[in-house]
Amino acid sequence: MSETRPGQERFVAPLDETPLRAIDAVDVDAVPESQWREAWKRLRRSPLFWLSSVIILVLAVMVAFPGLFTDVDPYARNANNLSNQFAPPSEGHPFGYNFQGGDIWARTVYGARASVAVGVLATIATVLLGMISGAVAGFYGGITDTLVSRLSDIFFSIPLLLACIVVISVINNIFPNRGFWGSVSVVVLALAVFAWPQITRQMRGAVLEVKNLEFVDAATAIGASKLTNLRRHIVPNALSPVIVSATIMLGVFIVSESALSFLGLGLPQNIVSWGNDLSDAQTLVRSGQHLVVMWVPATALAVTVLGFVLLGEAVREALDPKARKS
Amino acid sequence: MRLSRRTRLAGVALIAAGSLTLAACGGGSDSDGGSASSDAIISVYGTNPQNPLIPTATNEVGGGDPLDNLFSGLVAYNTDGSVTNEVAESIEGNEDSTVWTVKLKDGQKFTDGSDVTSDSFVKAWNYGANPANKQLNNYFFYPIKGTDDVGNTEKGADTVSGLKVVDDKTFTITLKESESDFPLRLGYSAYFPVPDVAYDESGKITKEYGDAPIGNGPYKLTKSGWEKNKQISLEPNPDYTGVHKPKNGGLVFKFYNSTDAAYTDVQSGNLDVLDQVPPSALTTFESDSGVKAYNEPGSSFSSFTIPERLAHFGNDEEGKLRRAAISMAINRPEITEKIFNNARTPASDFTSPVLDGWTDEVPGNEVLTFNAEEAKAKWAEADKIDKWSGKFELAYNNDGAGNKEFSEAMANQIKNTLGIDAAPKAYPTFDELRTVVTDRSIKTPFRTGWQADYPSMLNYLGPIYATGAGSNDGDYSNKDFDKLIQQAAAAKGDDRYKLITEAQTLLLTDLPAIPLWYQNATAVTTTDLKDFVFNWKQKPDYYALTK
Amino acid sequence: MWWYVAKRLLQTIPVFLGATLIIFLLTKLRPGDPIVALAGNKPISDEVRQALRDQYHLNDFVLVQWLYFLKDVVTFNPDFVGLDGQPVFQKISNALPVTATLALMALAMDAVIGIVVGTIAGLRRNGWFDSITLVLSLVLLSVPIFVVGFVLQFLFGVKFGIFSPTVGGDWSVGDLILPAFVLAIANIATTTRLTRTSVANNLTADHVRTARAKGLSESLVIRNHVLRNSLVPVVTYIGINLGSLMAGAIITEGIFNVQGIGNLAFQAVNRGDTPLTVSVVAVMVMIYVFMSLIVDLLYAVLDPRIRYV
Repeated sequence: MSETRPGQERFVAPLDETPLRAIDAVDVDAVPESQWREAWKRLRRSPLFWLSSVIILVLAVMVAFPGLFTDVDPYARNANNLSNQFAPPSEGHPFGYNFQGGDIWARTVYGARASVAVGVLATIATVLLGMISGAVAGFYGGITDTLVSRLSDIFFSIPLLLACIVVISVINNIFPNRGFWGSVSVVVLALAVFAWPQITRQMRGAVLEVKNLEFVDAATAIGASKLTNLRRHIVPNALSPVIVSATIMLGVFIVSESALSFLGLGLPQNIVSWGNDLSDAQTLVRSGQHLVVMWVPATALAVTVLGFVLLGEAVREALDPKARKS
Repeated sequence: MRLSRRTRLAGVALIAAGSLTLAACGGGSDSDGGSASSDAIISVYGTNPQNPLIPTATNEVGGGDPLDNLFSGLVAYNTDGSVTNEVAESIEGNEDSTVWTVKLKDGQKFTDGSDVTSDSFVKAWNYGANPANKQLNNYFFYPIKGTDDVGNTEKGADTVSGLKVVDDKTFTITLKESESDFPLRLGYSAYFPVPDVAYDESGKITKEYGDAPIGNGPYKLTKSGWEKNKQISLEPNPDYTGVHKPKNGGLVFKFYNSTDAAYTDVQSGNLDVLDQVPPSALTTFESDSGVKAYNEPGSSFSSFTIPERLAHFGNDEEGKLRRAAISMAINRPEITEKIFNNARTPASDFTSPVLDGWTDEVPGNEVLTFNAEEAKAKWAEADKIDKWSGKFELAYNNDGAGNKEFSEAMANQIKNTLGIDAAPKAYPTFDELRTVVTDRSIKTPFRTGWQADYPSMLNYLGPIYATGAGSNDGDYSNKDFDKLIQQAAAAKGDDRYKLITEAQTLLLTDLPAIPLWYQNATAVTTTDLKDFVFNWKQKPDYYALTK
Repeated sequence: MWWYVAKRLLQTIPVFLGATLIIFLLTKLRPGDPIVALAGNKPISDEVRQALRDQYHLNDFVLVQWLYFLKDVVTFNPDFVGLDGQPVFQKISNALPVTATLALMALAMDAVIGIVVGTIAGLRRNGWFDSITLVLSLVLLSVPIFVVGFVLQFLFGVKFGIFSPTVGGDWSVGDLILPAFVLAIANIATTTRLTRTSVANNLTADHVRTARAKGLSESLVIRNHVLRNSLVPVVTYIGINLGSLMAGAIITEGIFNVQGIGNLAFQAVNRGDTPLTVSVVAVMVMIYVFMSLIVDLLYAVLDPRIRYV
């Protein structure tokens, strides 16, 4: 036992015998990666994530291979036959038939494609537009902020539904003949062009909030550049409210498509979609008969929205640095 | 009259405002008012008028219905569409029916106390025909000499040369061409008289008058009158002496945005009369205990037109085969039963079963009966001439009740029977559909319909299928047909009907339009409403309603 | 602060100009002559048509038409008429009160229900209340407003007769309860979700832990530290939604026959009535602009870190 003097760390092992250095080492370039890797680790432990993944996976298969779920092709000859109007469920037709004599289940299965396409594409477009513009505006401030904010004000100040009605009715008049993707992209375009400012505002607000937080100041103090700050600290921190909004938005868009169909401006009616089927079902609601025609696509819609919102929730919890601390 | 944007507007288009006030059978003006309920105020379905309430300016039903109750014309329409002299004492034509002399009854007054004189008519008509006044109903004046082919005064003159005031109670109308049933027109709202008080110093009808018109009809505006976007309230005109003497204590036209909302209000007793049934209630309205339901054969005819300029549908062997095949691929009874819950009746000709001379035995009308085998055979035969390719689309306007449902069902039937790609194609509004139809830019078959101006089978044929006729949307032309129609117009009685049947047989071979069904008149009222009668235009006789 | 308000008011001008221009140009892209639509596709002479086209400046270059429009709007020209010859401002001022009442009622329902439910759910994250709220809000979000509208109208209006099933021109606040609720439903779901997320986030934030560590009572912590911070995004959402609520009224007003702005707008778009369409949009734009100003001012009140100079 050797002599100890004041200041000497008697019980500490020599530095090279411990892994401390590796732990303390700051690998500057690897930060984002490890953050996402850690998020993935947390995701894997989340039951919400698995539930939503199952829903979305089933939905994806339904979108890609509807034939796996039903033998009836609603686009085929004789798929809609008035002699089957409101016929009860039978072998291979688990929910029976609708007003036009179409198989309710088959239409719901095939309708996933249009509804999901509108929802997903419009959300992607909106989020991309909104995040970029919002991050830039919030972070740089000044004239950039003013420009982006005023532009987003202009678009956001025009109510979404009204704007969509105008846009779609105009496009319908100019390009009356469009196929599946043509019709989908018109609805997507109308929704995205007037919905992006919602994300912009949120992103900008979140960026403003995060920008003043201590750790960003700290990062600036130790010499991180503005852009690095934006990319590494602000965007990930601002991401969670956007993800939550985006998942909600996805549902809203799918529902909007049906609202536009209700007004006669959604997807053309020869495209099988939940929006069209729900719009058709509305007349039955009043009389309270054959409500199964409404419930099947409505449930599909609800479950789809549920899937995306749950996913958003799980991803947010995994990503959120604040949630990580608890 | 072309069928208009909504069933609610049925009977609006050509004589838009002219959805008539009508007398019930036999000029029943002798209302000695015994019943205590004669002061009941009846609320009826309406829409906010889109134009000032000026006879020559109102061209849609929202303003037309109130206007018809606020004014009386030279003649009044009876429930069956025939006319009775109203303000006119007599309307007499010369030998060749080109000059008509109108004599007015004595003691006719506007509700402000001024007399109804020859001037009240002639000045109003001159006003309507003068293009400077931009009156939408000016085409009503086109038969009169001194107007161009739209009805404007010639060369922008202030007055129509064919109108001459003889004295206070007499005036003459000179027509461009002989027209023996000219007086039939004169009950439409465009021909109503307008009092002097309506005009300002420069001779324009004032905005104030357009908001609160002074008329000579069975009713007048109450103090509250037209409350924009809310309602129009009418009370009986005590000085009215005509054939439509009100049997109720007043009318309130309540404005609705949708017939669905109005239906709900009838169910809950907030609205007395809804003169059409929304599609969402078609399957239930007759068994709905909360309402009284009316469902009768009506006067409007539905079809869809395949223009000859479309590829494969020309005026040749192939076109005829394909038209017949399409027609036979449609199962009309199935649609009228399953989609319209029998509020339509499958068509067996091009007119309407409520007309004199109508028959369901027009030779050749088996082409209107569903026959899958025959349809396929004809289609295959046409394919031998020129192979079919592409998509068969049916254009319709989505703001018309039930259009979407029947177009989809019909497309499905065509697809299922013929095995071709068929789909409905929506235009958001009636206007948009009509615009592309009128400028001939539409590239697909489209829905058409017709409600005649007066109850004559000829009025269902000539204006639509005669060469160059105003509503010949498909540009159909058949000299033989034109000749038969002309002969029929000159003929009388059974001869006339025989010629009409011959003409219809020609149409059934050419199928310029494919007849679908006759539209029933449907309505619901509250259970305590009485004396509801449909007139010939599928409108209620408002003055006769009681509670 | 006042300088900020003045600056923001000035900034509304480009928004107003931009939004009206966009919608104006869009409606002008639509093919077809509005005068033909006005005539209801009945014969109309070239003289009348040209006279009407001149009257509505339809023969001018489109930007000139827009300037005419601006002139009429800015000067509140009482003779500024839509395609039907009826004064636009009168139509709008007739339709505005009922829609404004409807939207404000919906907004109040949205704020009260959304924040209360969302806060409780956020505070008891993953508890039974939270789970039920999640499921309910998802159901509300995913069922189209017209389905909800028809069902509630049928149940409460027709079947049980609790509310008047339709509103009509003679409206009262009581008539609007049901339509306002229908209008608010989708937003309530979103507000609830946002509040919950925000509250849950703030519960784990440093300053809340600090506050707790300082020994503040739980209710004080929640009120001063959690709620106040959590409400920032929620207030943004609710505030900027007034405009979209008024547009959402297009469907709700149709179902319940409310003679309001939404309906006016839909009819105007359908008829290709550019003056009326753009004017209605302009009104909605102004409402939005002022709401967003109020929201930004509230921001400063709620979050002391944001200051306006």
